[in-house]
Amino acid sequence: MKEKVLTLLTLIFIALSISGFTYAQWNDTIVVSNTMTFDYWNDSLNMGFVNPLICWDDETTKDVGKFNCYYTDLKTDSVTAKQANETLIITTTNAYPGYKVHCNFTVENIGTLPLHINETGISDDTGGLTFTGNGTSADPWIGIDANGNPIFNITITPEVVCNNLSSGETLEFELTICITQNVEECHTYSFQVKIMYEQGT
Amino acid sequence: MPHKKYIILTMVLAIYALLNVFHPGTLMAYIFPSTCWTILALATLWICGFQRIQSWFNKRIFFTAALISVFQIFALIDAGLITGFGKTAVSFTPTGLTINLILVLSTLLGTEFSRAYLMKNFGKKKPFLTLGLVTLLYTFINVSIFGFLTFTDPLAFSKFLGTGFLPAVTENLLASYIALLGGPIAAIAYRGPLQAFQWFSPILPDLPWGYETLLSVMVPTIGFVVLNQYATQRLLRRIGIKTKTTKPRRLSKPEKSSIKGWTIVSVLCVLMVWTSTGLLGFYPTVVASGSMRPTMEVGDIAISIKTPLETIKVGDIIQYWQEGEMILHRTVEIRGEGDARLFITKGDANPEPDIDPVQVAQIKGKLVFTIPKLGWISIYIKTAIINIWLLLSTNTTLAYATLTAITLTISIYIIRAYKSRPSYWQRKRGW
Repeated sequence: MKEKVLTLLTLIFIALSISGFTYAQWNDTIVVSNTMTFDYWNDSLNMGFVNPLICWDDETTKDVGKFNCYYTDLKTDSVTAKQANETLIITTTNAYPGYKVHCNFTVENIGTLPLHINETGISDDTGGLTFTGNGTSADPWIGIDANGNPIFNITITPEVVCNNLSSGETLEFELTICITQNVEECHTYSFQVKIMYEQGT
Repeated sequence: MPHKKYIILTMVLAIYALLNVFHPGTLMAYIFPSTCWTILALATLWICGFQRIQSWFNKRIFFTAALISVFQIFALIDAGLITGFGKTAVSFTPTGLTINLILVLSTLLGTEFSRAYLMKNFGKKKPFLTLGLVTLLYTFINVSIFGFLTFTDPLAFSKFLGTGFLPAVTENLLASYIALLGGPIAAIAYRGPLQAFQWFSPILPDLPWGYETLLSVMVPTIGFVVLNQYATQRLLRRIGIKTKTTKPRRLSKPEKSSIKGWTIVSVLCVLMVWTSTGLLGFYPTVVASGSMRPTMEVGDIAISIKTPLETIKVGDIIQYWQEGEMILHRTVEIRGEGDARLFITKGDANPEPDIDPVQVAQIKGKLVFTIPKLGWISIYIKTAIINIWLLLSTNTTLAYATLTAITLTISIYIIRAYKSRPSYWQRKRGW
């Protein structure tokens, strides 16, 4: 009996705490972000970047810029035990106008259900750059600095959006970065590319 | 017939093997698992009979299971209010909804009917062993056993344990126990709402994996302990586990005072949580910077109340949100009228007013009084938590060791909770 009363009290305490907390929070604002890491709770729907990741630039003799590409945020699908990365990070350093970097990356559906790529996104978490466009050849992403100058154009070919992937299927894309005339000397630019997807039916 | 239980067990194992080996594409990705689980559900129903399943139903266990499920969903939503929400990847087209409904329903029925049948048939002689084995079997249907062999990075392994394996173990442990005590309907009452939330909610909490592990493990563990309290001798006898009756006894004096103590502590804790979140109409905030010196020192607790905006005058100290931070500064100028008003603020110790004016929507309240020094406790605790978190996030081995220690503690706690149930010892000692 004592244990039951204690359990009941604990439950009441937890429930009241949560309801009070919920009320207080909802009373203010609720923020719904437009992207999320989809590995939570629904491992049937899971996609990410996988190897190979091959990056190169057009310059072979002159030192007119440096680049670094890598995947990060490794996740594992608990049903298939396959691994993939959530984010592709590309950094260019000390690049001169006209410098071009190419990056071949691969995405894989590591879940068990079919997926449909519905959106791509690009961001600079340091806040130094804003972006326009949608990353296609027709409307490339343009990275714009704090002064409003376009710094680089980015395209992904073939078009990423509207592709469907069955479980275990992979797709390869090429991302190209072209540095414009407004680039600042001795400056490092870094940005993240994310691919958003939904269940394919 | 006794061999029928082995037919169901074989079917479950066959489905486990099939689902792990075959991952067909397009529409077959839905048809294949749905068919497997539907066949299993129908086979169990045919072998078991609907009347027998009805006889396993227990109203109290059913409602407790549903409550635990709702509690888990609320806990997840609450966590989402702190960390944020995100759009689900699940399709919400009519076709998508129909396909998902069939997939979720067939999986739920197949899983819970077979689970309850196995628990009821194997669990009478050795309930504890059956509980463990059935839990593991259904866990590995959801989580690949090969996942344990593929890791090279300890952090990735910890993440896999935290977000995949441990939540699956605790959820299946609770579902198996519910199935033993209340049959498949009660187990569906627990897992159904969770599945519905996962598959049919347009937004889901976007939790960092540490939060996810904590909630997904702790709530079913609490649920298990709660349910264990309902495993009365009468109920255990009803489901075929033999126990002997003991006389009910009155509570002793220390036990009564302990309950009183718990009540007081619970009420105080609730009040503390409500107060800190502003539910009671005032907001306590710990002063973390010296910008309002000498009016407020670092470590003071500032109490603000919600107040009509018309009553805020130049000279009042207002509390407001700016770029994710709560700030307390003095109003030095008010521009505009109505909802378009802008409040120019300045810290008493700052030489210039703040650059960004405060908009009406940002304001939380007006300062009424301060409690000196009391906020240092909060600052020390916060610093300690941040330091521990930094230590764990930079040292993967330590993080892995900590997670293992937590897992072991929870496992030991569950086993002890189960074994400390009076009926367990009565059976063990043959009373």
